[in-house]
Amino acid sequence: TASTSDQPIQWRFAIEETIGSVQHQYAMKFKELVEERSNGEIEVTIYPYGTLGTSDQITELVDMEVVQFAMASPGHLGKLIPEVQVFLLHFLFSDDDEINNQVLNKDPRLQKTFAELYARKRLKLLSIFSEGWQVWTTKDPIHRPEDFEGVKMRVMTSPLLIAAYNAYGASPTPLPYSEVYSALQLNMIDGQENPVFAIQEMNFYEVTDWMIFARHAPFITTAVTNREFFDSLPAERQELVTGVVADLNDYILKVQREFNQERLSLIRKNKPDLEIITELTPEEREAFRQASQPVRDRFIRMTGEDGRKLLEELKQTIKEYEDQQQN
Amino acid sequence: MNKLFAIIQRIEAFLLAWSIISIAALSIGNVVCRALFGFSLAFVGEVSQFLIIVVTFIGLSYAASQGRHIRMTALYDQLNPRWRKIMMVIINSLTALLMLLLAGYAFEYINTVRFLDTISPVLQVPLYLIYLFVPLGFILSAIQYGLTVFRNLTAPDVYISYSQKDEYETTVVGEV
Amino acid sequence: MEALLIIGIMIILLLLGFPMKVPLIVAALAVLLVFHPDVTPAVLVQQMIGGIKPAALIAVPMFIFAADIMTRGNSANRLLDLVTAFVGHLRGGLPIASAISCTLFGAMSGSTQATVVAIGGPLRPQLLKAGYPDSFTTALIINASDIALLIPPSIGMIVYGVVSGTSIGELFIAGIGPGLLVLLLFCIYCWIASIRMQIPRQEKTDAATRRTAARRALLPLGFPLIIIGGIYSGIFSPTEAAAISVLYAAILEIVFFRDLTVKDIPDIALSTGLITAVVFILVGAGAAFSWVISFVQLPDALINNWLGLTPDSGYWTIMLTIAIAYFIGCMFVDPIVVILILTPIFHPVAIAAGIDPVLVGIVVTLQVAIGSATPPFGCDIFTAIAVFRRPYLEVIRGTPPFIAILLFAGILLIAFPSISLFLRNLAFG
Ligand code: NA
Ligand code: NA
Repeated sequence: TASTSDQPIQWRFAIEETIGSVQHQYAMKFKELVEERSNGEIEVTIYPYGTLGTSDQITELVDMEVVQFAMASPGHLGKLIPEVQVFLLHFLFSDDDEINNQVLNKDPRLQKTFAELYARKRLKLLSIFSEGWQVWTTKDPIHRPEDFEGVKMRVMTSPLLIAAYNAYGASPTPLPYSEVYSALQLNMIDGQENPVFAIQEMNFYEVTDWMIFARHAPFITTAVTNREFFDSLPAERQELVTGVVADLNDYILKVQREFNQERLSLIRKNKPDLEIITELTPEEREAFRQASQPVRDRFIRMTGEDGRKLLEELKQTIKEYEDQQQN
Repeated sequence: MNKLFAIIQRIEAFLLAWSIISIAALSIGNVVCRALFGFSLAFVGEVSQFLIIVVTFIGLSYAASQGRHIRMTALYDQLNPRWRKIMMVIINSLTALLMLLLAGYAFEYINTVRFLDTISPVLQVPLYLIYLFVPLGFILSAIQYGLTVFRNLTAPDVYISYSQKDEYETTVVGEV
Repeated sequence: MEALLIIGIMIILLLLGFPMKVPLIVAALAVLLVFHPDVTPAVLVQQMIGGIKPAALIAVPMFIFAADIMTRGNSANRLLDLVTAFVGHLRGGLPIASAISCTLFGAMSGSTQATVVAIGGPLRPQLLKAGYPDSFTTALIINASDIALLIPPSIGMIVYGVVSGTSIGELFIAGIGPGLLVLLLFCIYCWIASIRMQIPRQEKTDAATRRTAARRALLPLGFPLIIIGGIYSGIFSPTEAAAISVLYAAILEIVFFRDLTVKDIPDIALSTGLITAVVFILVGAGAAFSWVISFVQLPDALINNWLGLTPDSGYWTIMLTIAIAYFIGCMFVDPIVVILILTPIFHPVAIAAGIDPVLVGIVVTLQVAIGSATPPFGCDIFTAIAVFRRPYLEVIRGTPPFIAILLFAGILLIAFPSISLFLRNLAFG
């Protein structure tokens, strides 16, 4: 068989996070399944964060076919494909992970819409998954938009995120990730948002007093490959990739939940007096949802008709799956 | 030749000085704004980044015209003027070629950025426009290194740049 | 194989005297062309641009700008006068004054080169006149200037913070203790050396001279207070502190001292721009080089197979390996380049071993300072050759005692982490 040929083919997979992250877990399982199912004809090398560059650079590397696979999260990819910034909008998704997983990966219509968006940039979308909910850590409790008045929140440099926190009355402060801890400690900023695993890893909970699960947005990332590379593969290899990716969707949801659960227990153990708001009441969520409406208009202004249709389609699909769940 | 050289140098000097002054003015404005009025000017970081690219790559050529490089002279210093001249011709020709090669690669990279249509998040400026300073800097410095070769081949002394003789006052300074 | 090609190209081109960016880029290019023809070298340009893009790096030209304004103006001289007025008459007073002045000026400047020019320039003739030998004087100036790298602000720390993701604010504060330790050790050595060289003591200045000197130096002394105080109290980030330092320097020299006018600023900015470009092109080339060695996974091979370093290797093994690696690296290439290339290799091991990233950063900064004043190619040596126009051998003759002292300080920093971390913990605890 072909597996006796001397050198295995090299595929390179660049991720945006460090070893031990949800993305790394995804890439490792991808490597394991691809190598196993290709009978060792393919070898996958994983490049964790910091080895090949920033998120922006990694996407360019996929495009130049320096790496074949990569993670591309909307915060960065939004600069190339403005429509994917839809994932940054607040209170859009269901507060049930499982429903979001189905919407993002199993709905054929949405799959087609997204595939076309990515194809414009010579990318092939493999999967969309959540790495857990964005969680606020702050110095004071937050229940309503008014509670954000004057709060200096650190956000990624994305116009929609800045607009969102402006809409709540906060003053969004862009800051490099590595300065967030010190800035919280010195009260240069009052809060930040990140998924639980990042909050634990960077010890942000040590320098804030409240942790608020508003479930305002999942921290979403996407796995991509170079479209020309993918199309040039023989049919069996293409099926190999799509098969592995399909199996990974449920796997990564499980991993993500376990990861964030474990890290949350660790945080609780390390700082027992940390105040945690595990959820907001439906009224409180509604107040935030209302306050964040202007951000959706902004999104539509930024992305035009395509963006408006996508947003509608996404809202529609989420509602359909939520209704199904109810019945 | 001398006139062209002088004009390029003046434009480069202007860009360098005013980029630095603008970065300073913008950064100061941003701190003052945040400290006094509580809001950050989001475009400041972006513009500063653009200007740093201008400073680095235009400065690359300006530094070459001034003979300002970080390099090791331990062996070179032991040579007699004749051999120094030969080394200068070799070093500068090869460096000029490398700069041209890099200019080519820069255009290739810019093509990718242009295809991806990457825009800066705040000001929505297409990044490839800013990146055009990169191949420009490489080409201008290739010209400077070429001029240095020309000067060494046509004038009696050893030159480390088109206008600078190889003397201790002007050589190599480690900057950190 | 890749490693051999890289090392071979680097050494040959460096020895031939190519500008330092050339060996870095050619070595990176050669690896791609020979071993990975499927990878376009355009990626090197991507990494060069990416290398100079991080927002925190904006602080580098700003700190250089502030130092340039003060070097061109009168702040440095005022500090010098103050220090000589108070310690000039002691045994070894002049060299001690040089070391203290370098430290004070270092608290306003991120660059050792600016310090060599600002302090070494005016003090060197005085030291020679007082009877200190040339080799001692030059060695003192280049090594004392290295304190500028440890005392905040520091360009080395900014780059280290950017590459490793360590807080620059914490690195800055943690550098103060080690900076003062090195200053103390140098002062002791200067005292002993001046006794052995039998240099006569200088006359003591009177109280009026001292008062005048103190009054004249008051405003420049506010500089470190504003930088450290501003960062520590959370008023601004280290990057913003750099902008404030430019503002402060300009107001000082233009409004208060009237040494400069607004018309002088473009000329100073040009010199800042030139230095920035020379540093940043190395940052870019270093980033491209570093990308290629990551891509071919040399760091893994180096750490696991050659050095056998694991997070369980123990504190001393890890710290000593790191210290030696940076020290040797800086004997050959520019400190910025060494930080860019070695940090992604060694930082993860140290972190996995649970060593405080700030401590690692400080030890690295010290090693980088030592290595850059160490033969054969430490770039401080070439700074001194260029600034003072002295031959290579004379410049390096006086350095061994200083390097020994610095290495001893390095051991102390590793043995007693609280030298670095005490102030950090106080400020951020
Ligand atoms: Na300093
Ligand atoms: Na140095």
